Amino acid sequence: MIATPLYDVDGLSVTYGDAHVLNQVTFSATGGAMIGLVGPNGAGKTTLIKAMAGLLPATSGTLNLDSKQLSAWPLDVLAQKIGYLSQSRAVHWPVTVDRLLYLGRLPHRSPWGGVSEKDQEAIDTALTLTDVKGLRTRAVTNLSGGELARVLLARVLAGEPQIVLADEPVSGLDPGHRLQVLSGLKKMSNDGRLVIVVLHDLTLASRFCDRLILLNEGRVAADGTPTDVLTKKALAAVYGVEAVTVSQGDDIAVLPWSYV
Amino acid sequence: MTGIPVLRQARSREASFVYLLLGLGALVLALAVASLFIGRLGIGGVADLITVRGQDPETFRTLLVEVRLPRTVLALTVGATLGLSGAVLQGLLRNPLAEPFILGASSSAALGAVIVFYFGVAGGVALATPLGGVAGTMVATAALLALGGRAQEPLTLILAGVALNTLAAALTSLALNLAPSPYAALEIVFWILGSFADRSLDHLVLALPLMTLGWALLFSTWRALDALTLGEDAAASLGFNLASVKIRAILGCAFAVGAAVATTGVISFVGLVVPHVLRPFVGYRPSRLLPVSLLGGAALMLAADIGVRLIDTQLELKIGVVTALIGTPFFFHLLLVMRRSGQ
Repeated sequence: MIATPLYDVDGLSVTYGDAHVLNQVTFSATGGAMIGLVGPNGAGKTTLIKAMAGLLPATSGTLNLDSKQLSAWPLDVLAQKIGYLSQSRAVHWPVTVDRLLYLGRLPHRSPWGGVSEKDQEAIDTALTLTDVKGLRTRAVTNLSGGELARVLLARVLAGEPQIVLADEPVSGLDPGHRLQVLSGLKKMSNDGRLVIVVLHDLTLASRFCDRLILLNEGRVAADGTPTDVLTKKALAAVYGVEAVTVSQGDDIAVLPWSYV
Repeated sequence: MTGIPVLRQARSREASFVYLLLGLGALVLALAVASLFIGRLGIGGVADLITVRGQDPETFRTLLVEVRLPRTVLALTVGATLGLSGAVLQGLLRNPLAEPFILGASSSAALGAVIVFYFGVAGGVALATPLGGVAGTMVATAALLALGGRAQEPLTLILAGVALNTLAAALTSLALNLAPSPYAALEIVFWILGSFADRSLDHLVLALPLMTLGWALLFSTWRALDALTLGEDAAASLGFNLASVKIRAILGCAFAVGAAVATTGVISFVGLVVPHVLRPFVGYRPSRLLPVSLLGGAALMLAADIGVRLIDTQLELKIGVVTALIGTPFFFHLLLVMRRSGQ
């Protein structure tokens, strides 16, 4: 079982020059949940997820992880706790899938040691979860877009992080692979991890996330269960769209229908 | 236990890496010995050397230790420096075209050394010329990372290198233009062409500690270079302090390349060719490319320096001229490959 992580975000602002990319963002998040970050382009989703990964400094406000300021954690401990999946899928050298997954183990390996059995087990689990076991000897540069997206997610999972921060992990994937990748992330949240995922597909967000945070112009516009957040009124105000919503059990399918 | 066969496979690759290192090491050693004994007289000269050894051991010793040894050790260490710094720059910038010469670090080192040389500081303090080279490289590498370090497009970085090269060339020309005598100007030009000939033990003693310090700094980036395969954000999220990595790379290049260029002049393209050729043999892993490129650079430079001594020309060819003639077509080839692959 994973030690339950806890984020406390209070009045977090991030500015680039004069522009407020995040403005007084406040929420808290704890393990065992899958949280979707949704909102239009430029709402600050990527900035928020990078700040939570410790890749961007907060301009003001507090950002605590397990009751301690995020920037006060040593980099190597943070690297073991947090797995960050970047929006960019660039891999710069044609290494094999296996090699790429070993990179995910870097925070756990000593500089001089080889790959331990424990590393190998974590890698095997990650390969199975993302269904890329058959690709392990392939060069990453020869994979299809969908295969690469899953391999990069496997790289994050191989690090056995308590927290997964994934920036648009399913963009550009076909419907089957979208469902597959999000199911994998959901499984991770079920064993006590905190999974925060940036999504543009609101139906998938509603289907897989326990909770949605809707960002607009750097502020939290709504925060709650998918049905509470994805109201017609909120969709019109934030995205400027009129949407058709269809209830499907506890979930709702959201179909943006016309631009208002 | 599905993990076990793969683990064994990983170990067998480790073994082949050790063999690669041993093989390259043996090659460097053999070439170094050959470089000590083969001079302008070619293979036939070796017999003469042995005769000298029998008749006049003192002359033999002087010839070997004061003439041949500095040349051999310089070729070895400068080649190692260029190979290693090329591998580090390529890994850091994720750009197969990155190299001290192309990025303007070498010509800036030459400029720094020329300035020191020109203003006559070198006469006063012996260490000044290499330190001028170090300062020149440091300024150039830092400017380069500031100009194009985060560039997504690999060619942007190369353009930044072109700008730095042009600036260094212009300022070097200015120094030549203002040189006190044509002889001084000629001396500077000849030295910039790059050669291991006529370097003394003193040159070696000045350059070697600086180069060694540079190597240590360059090697300290090895794990971060692997992580950078995934890009800067992912590397930072894996626990690497990239600001520190960049500073170590800049300082490492400055000490190693600066001291090398200030001693031997500009030797181009070794840092481009060596990592590129050896990369597939280490499974494209930036960390493993470092020791392999260090040895590969040393071997290539020793072989090339033996080559220029064996080619029968009236005046010995400058090694910098030879590497430029061979390296430029290689650079064009890489550019074409990158264009075709749409990078």
